[in-house]
Amino acid sequence: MSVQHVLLVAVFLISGPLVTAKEGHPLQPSGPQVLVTVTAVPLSPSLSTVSFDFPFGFLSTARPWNRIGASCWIFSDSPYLIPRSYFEFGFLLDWALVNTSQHELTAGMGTAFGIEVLRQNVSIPLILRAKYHYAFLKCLSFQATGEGFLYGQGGGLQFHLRALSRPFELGFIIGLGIGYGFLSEWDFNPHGDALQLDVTVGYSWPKIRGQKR
Amino acid sequence: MKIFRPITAITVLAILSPVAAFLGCGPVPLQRLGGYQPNPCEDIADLGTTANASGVLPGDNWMYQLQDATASLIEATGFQIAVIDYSRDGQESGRYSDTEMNTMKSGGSRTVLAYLSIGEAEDYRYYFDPRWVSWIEAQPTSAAPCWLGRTNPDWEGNYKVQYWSEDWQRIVLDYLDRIIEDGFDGVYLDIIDAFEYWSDRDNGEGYWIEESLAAERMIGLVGRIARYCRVEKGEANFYIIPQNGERIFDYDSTNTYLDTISGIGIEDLYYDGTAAIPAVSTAERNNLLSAVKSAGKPVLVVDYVDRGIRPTPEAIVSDFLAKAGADGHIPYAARADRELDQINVFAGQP
Repeated sequence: MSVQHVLLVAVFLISGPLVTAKEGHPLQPSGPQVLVTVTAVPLSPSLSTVSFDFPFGFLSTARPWNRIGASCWIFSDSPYLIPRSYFEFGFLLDWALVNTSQHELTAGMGTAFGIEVLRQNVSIPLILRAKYHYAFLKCLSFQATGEGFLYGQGGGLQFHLRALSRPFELGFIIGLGIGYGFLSEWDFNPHGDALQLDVTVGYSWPKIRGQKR
Repeated sequence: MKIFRPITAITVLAILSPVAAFLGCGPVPLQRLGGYQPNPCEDIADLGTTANASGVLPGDNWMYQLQDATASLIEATGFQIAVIDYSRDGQESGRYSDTEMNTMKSGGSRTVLAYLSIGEAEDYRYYFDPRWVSWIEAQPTSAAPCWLGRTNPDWEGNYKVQYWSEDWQRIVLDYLDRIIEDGFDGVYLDIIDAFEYWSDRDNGEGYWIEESLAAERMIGLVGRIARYCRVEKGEANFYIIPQNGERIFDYDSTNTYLDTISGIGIEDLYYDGTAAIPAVSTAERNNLLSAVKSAGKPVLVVDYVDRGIRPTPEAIVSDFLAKAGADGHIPYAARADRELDQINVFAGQP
């Protein structure tokens, strides 16, 4: 099976429910969640991420808390979170610009502490993130994320489309995604881009005290 | 909660992040993209000195066969120069015996050169570890040495190399030991044009260097090969014939490269397969090759024009031979499949 076939299947899996959904469904209430993502580029598993998302609305439903969320993550360039040549810890704050029963649009800003193990380089980017979350089935939602990275010597963009499901109305989450990333230094040396497929599993604490959307 | 106001937190983060990003905290970690990422080699070999060619490659015609060359069949031809692989099947077990080498040399009337790729690694060679590449995508893995680059999409199993790496150059010298040990008269060096690949921003490696530096490093490698063979191994008359990459002469201001080589091999000068190449392009390449001819060194030209029509080859075959001859080159009309797995003999080509 060629790379093109795999990508076609991935796009179909992600976009299929969107096409077939007759009407929208409310987003499942989401409390803090832990997600483990393994990313293949495009077929060989190459990256791993453990992320923790914490909506401040979990603590208080009053504004502005119910519109703010925090994310932190650990990222490594191996599928097992054991750094091969790069390891990163990041932190980001989100602000919900749109927060209806069916749609959620957030904008976030954060940074990360990245270590290139072999050459002992440290990279600290400014990270800007926009994330759109849409529920099209009761237990299936669609997430589109765009991230901008600004380093001291360059920058880049990364886009992800991801289908996330909580199939049994439990906290268990599974997801499938496709992404594209581009990074470049100011003098274009080095630069690179990559097509990525990823699989996510995780757990969400679904009950949010007095959550109101 | 009163202290940790969200607006305060966002403001602090908004100030600190760009400050951190702009205060020198940041080469771009391409590893973030995953998969194969370039790992620029830092074991850069010394450019060193060269050893000039002491003689001109003798011969008025040549043949080029890289697969399944058979000594007795070569002996039976009238070709005065033969370029073959150091092994009949590319493997160590396929190396030629002393008897076979003597047969091919026909008592010294034929010069036999060994093909050697110095700008690409070949996955069927003795030095190549299969763990260096992914069996799924055929690209380097994290186990690959720094010098191993992306696969050549046109030649499965061939991988670009950062040829300036000391580690890679030692492999080349080790390979030369085998070639010299087997009694070859010289080497035919392929992928000289790797200097163009590594200076191309769109090479797909995510890493490039200035063309002048890439050319200087290639000239340095060819010079090191010459010094190793002619001085360190004592083969003073060892012939060194690079193939293609003639644009390197633009960077050879001191004639170091020109003085090192014994001639040059050129592919696709008049025809790209069976399609004619614009005369302007051919003229540009010929202009670069004029330095070689002025130095009294031969230009061996191979065009893959022969589709095997017999008894009389197609007109383009004779047209190629005529044009190359008129330009003072030594032509070889090879089969159009580019397999180079047979000696291409017909009336007009011995």
